[in-house]
Amino acid sequence: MGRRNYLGQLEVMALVAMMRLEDDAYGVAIAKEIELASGRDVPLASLYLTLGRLETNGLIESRRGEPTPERGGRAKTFFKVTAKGIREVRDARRALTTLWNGVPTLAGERR
Amino acid sequence: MTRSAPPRLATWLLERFAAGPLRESLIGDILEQYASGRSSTWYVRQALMIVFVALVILVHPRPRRWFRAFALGAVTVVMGLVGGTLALDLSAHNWLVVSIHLGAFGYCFAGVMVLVLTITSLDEPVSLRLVGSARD
Repeated sequence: MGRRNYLGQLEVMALVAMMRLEDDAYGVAIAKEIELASGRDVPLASLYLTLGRLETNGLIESRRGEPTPERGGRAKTFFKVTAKGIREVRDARRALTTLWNGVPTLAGERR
Repeated sequence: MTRSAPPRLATWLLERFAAGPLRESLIGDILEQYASGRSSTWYVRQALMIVFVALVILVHPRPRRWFRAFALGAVTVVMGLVGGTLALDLSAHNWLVVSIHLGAFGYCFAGVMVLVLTITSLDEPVSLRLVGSARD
């Protein structure tokens, strides 16, 4: 079997957030989606590091938007999940679902 | 209502340590969040996180060189502190003690400068290597 890196938790969350946001997926929006879902603050440096890695691996692609005044005249970068990225997320979900199916109900959790 | 300007030192850190093709977007995102009501503490935390990530990325490929530079800075600071402590023990307020104090503070200052120069002015910019290729 060929060597393949597993997606990290933040990578999976970022990819799913981008899929939910569709054309409006830029740093702040992605971070908010992840924060809403996980209840944890996402440092933008970590998020951008993750986005850079995902783009290098061909799982996402980016395009530059227009600069806006509230951003100090700096442009947004919008991200989009590629076909390869969608495949990777699907595989990750399948693997996780399969694993979770074999786990007995956790303490304090309802099925 | 217009929000006050973000903390200046944190902004300097952002400008200094964030680099790469996604740099402008990252700084813009942080400014946008700050403008929409995030606290100054949050802003400073984001800046410090960028510094931390940048240093980890920078040190990682050449740990020995960086270890030497930081060790030199740390040793200089320790020498300054030891010198200051010895001077306080002597506790005589004459010109010799004053000059030892000044020397100790000088050592501390030199140590801090070594640390700062290590970070800011080596042969390549400290950079958060945000890889990517955002199209214009």
